[in-house]
Amino acid sequence: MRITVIGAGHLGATHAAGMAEIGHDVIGVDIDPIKVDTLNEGRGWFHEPELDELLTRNLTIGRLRFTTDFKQAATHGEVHFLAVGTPSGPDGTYDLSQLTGAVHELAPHLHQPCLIVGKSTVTPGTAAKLETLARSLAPAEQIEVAWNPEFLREGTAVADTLTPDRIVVGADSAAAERVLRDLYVPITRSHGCPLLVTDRITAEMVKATANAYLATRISFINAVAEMSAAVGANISDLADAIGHDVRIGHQYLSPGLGFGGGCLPKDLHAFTQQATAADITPAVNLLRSVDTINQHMRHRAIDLARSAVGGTLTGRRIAVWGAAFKAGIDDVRDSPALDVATRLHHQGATVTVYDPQALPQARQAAPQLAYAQTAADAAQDAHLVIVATGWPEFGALDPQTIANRVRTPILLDTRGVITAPRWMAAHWTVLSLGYRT
Amino acid sequence: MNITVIGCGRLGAPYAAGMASLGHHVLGLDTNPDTVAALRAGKAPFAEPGLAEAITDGAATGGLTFTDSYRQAADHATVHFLAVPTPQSVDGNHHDLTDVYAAATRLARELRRDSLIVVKSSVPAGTCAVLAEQMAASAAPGIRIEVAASPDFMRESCSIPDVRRPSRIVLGVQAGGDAERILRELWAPCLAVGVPLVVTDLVTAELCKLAANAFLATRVSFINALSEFCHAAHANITDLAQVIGHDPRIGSDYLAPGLGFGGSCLSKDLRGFVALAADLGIGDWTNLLTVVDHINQGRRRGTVDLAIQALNGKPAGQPVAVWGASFKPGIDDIRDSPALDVATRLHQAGASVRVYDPQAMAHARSECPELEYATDPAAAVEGARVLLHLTGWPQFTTVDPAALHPAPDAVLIDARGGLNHHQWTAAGWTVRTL
Repeated sequence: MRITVIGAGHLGATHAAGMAEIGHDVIGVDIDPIKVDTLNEGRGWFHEPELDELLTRNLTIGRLRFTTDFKQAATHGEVHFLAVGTPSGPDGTYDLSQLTGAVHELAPHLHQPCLIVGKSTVTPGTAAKLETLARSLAPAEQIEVAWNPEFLREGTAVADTLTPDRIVVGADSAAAERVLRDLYVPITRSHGCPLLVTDRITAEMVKATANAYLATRISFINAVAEMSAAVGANISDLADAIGHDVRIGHQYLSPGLGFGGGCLPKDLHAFTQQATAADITPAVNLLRSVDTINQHMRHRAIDLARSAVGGTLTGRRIAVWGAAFKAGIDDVRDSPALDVATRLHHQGATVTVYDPQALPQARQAAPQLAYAQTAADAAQDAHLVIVATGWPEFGALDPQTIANRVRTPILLDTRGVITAPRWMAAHWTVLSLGYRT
Repeated sequence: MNITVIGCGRLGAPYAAGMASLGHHVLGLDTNPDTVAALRAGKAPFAEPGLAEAITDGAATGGLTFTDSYRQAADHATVHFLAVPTPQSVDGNHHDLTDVYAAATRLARELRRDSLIVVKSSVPAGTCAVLAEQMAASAAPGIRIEVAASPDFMRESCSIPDVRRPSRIVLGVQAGGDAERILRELWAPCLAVGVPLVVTDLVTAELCKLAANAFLATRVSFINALSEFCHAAHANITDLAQVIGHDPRIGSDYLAPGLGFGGSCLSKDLRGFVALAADLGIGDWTNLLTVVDHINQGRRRGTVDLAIQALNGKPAGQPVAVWGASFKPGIDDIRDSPALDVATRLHQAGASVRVYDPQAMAHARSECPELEYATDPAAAVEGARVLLHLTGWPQFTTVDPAALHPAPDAVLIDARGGLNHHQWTAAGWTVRTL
């Protein structure tokens, strides 16, 4: 099938490469010529495991290319995927301007009937609005919009595209459903994953709902961690014990500094905003309390840090290990780690940050902080070391080596990656967020 | 191994029968002579699939006997499981621990050998430590009593399979004791088939039960809050729940929108958790779970409102049918049942409410004598202007709506889902959902 993918960001570039990999003839479109050139050289302009191989392979056999030319894309595609970003607007709702912008660029060139398929997370009702817009701009008669939400996780985006847990199709016509079923046959047949069909509004809500649920899980376990710490219980054992219940499960049940990143906070806030607008008080209250707990964990970490360094942060040297919002990626969007580091800085501490992958991004997002090239360098003369992102390599560091660098051997583990007894054996004081040490 | 199970209610009786079926010699103790007489006669004191058979089998092999004597219990074994009820206290949201302390003290006085007491009842964090002190104070000099906590996660309506092969066993122990060694031996049949055992300290084990139930309650209220949102956004909550349930991090159990949770565990443990958090001064936390409780209560109010709306705001004297009284299908338990709560509220609003439930009628009648009861689903609906489907018994889905005789223009309120709405609409019903 001839496919275009509009938007060459994390989602769009991976989706374009994935669709080519399953045998489609794909053009990726982006307004940014630098991104287009980089991708045409077989390189992702962001860090994503296995993506470069996928790009190179499909570029080489001629099933994939990237362009800035919307006219070329419009002529090529029987199906046009919209994979542009929908960031948070100032009021917390999704900013849909990139989506409408893409339709404005694309639709005037559509001379043949085609299907436009949205992948972004949006306000319910967006597909219908985009369809009206596209029909008003396109010379062709039959333009339809369907919704096919993405479920990519950064770090496993390629696998999530090629071997997803499920594919969701929101279509208001049998014809649109059939096109998307055909398009995904290579995945549904080889991988046996379910393809679930629903209406467009429901499909639009799927991603935000799933993210709101995961956010609720994280805040739930963080709240239990607080309680656990107060009664002297062991939150790791507790999470393990309740996670064995199949109705609960183990994933997203690690207490710590809470969630961040480009999706969970954004979707949670947009959802809260929509529920407020629709006057659904129970949903608003639930989502707000989830957010409150999440913010509370960051305050809690700072309070612990302050008391660990003697009650005042002014003039104290603090090493923050971790800047990415989660381990395994270089993304610092709404990163709890960088947020805590920045707040410590504002409260007078001298903060040095180390992250295995996200240093350039962190430096750009928070230039006021100091950065080091290794965890040990960051810890130089520190009064306190904070583990703020759950990189496994922090757990593998030698406590004695680090002890030789710091002023006072105090470590605050907000992610549960440190084996406390090993550090305590090297005379460290180990503090934690919820975890008992 | 010889063990006793103190308390033969909904927790203790299945546990005793299940452990006997794994080959142990179990003595069940209950202070209610009627309960003991029923159990001795091979009868289950309440409806629970497989329980009567397990009791009869246990009696036949001699592995399961019952008593009301603490002396006999103390003589029978050195491992005693405490499974007495801990209801929500009448004066607030805490667990009422009167029965737990009373049973522990009475047992301690009778012990003539060093013994292990395993607390299976749901108790707030810190209870087992207090219990250990109280038992030590009550026991004869020189008798050592070790206390362990092993909260139970069995589900009503599948309690026997859950005892024989639980999703996990949680064991909280005192440092330096023998409990883990003894209980690993006792639970060997479960561990051999791969049941995970999580060994931790007493207070963590105690907290596990409340946390697990509070989490499940949160799940149910999450999807119910979402369903109200979906209604406003014209999205389909059933599809949405199914779709997100395919995410392995989410899963599809306990994700069905509807009338919400009830029963003796979820509400009680949720509120017990809130009360404990309030005692500890952890405010942010309490709010999330308070919201979960409010959402759940709101579903009941919403259902009552729908019914009153269907009666044009004038429920007084109007015939209303209710299908379901137990808090979930498959059992006769009506504790904190959303179905019976809604029925009672409609009665209080003046409606003439007729209830049918396949198993819980006797309990419902004694708890709510003010309601009318019908002998079958069709009889309940006879002449009714509104029918509320409030407990998801499978037999309700097979009733042919065309064969019912309601009042003209009758309204079905399907608060549990599962009824074929096309069929009901075709038979002339107006169908409403939450």
